[in-house]
Amino acid sequence: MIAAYGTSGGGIWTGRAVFVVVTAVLILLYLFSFGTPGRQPPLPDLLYCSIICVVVRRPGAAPFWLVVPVLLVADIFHMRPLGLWTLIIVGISEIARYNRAVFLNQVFVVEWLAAMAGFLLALGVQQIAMILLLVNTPPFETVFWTMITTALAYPLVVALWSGVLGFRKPHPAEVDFARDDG
Amino acid sequence: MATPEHPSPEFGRRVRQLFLGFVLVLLLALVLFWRIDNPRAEQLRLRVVDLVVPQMERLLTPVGRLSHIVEDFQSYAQLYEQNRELRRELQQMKAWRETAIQLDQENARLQHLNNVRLGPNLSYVTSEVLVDSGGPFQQSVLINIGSDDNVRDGWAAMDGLGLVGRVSGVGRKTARVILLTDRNSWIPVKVQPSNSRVMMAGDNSGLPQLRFLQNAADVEPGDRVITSGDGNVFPAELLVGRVVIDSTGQFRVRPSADFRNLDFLRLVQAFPSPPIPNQGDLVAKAIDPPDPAIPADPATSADSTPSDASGGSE
Repeated sequence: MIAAYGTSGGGIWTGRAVFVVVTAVLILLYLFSFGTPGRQPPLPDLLYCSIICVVVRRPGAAPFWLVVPVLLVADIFHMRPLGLWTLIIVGISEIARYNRAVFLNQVFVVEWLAAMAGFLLALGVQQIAMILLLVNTPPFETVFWTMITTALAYPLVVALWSGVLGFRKPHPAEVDFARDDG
Repeated sequence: MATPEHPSPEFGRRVRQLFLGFVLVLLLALVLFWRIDNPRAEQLRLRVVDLVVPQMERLLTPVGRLSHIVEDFQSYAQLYEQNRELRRELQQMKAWRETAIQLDQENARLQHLNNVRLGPNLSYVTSEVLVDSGGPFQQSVLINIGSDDNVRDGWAAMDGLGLVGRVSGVGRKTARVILLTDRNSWIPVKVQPSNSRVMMAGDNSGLPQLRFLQNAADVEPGDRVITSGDGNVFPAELLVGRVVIDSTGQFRVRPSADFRNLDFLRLVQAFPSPPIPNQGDLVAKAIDPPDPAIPADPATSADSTPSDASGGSE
């Protein structure tokens, strides 16, 4: 049953498989040539949006031991500092996971703002970490525009996950927070 | 608390937290490893890429073709216009081709007359671009040849016309080319006709900056930019692009290479001539043997000529 993805029922492994396949496709997508280098605006971080979206809706489908390898693979293929973005996003997604009860009863805008605040935090931490590690930081404009495009993409990504793939918000009554940690 | 026979939710949560903390520490260690032993970490990364990307090629080809079709479709609208323009251009090109052939023949004749020997250490390998792994951090592409084809770090990559970037990271079947526009790309170039030597530094925009220009009056928009060969990074005289000025008055380079369609890259093999360590050495070697063996002199100078000639033609 599609609606049962990622709840603690039998569909949990289906949910995980869907999560892995979709994120793999997203990672691949970034490997295609998208026109001239230095294009403005840069592409949104769809992987971040997907992870937060799934973690909030069906945490069982995206346990951290799946999120880590997915992000690591992205780090490897997108030529980013190895492990840094993974470390940051796993941290942020765990925060989202522990506070997901907050989003269940709220309107979508709250979740959207929270997700973007998390992304901003992640970018900030990344910049600081890169300065501390004496690595070339990405230019401010690129970071800024990534933020904007990611913010715009978040509702679309949520629409994809909950509308097309069936990762809807569970009804508050059917959530068992103790078992759902993944 | 919880006995192993009856694991309570509380116990499961503890275990999970412990595991999570362990993974986070591992990740932190990975970041530090990447920073401290960067070359080895990058090698590791390339080994993974090397394993996966060639397998992905079959998958990538149809999707890449699909994206091309979409791009092409956008240009169908102007097909007629384009066709006419191409015909006109073709006419002009035919004339140019004729001229080029004549010049080539003349050049060969004159070189033969002068007994010129071109540096034998410049040749090309052509490769196909597999994936574009650019992002906010790196502007680079992966190509489908590597150390199996004798590719080495530091070779220049060109498309048909202009410089595209530099090989940085070689796997067995893949290699990574850092584009000119990447922030880590610094290339010594020369601006013609004034021949002023400048550094061209990428800043992740499409137009790399010209830095450390000594005399701004020497450079004008539209001037040709070529590699200077300084510092033995690249062979000299590879076409890079033309000078433009941005809105803040900063000189930049518009690359001649077409970065929108990087399908094939030509790697310029460069085997730099062995450096002459001290200025006096060439002479000193000839002088060092104090015996009056004069015939030794031409021999040493003959030895040094080829490397000189290649140095000049680099």
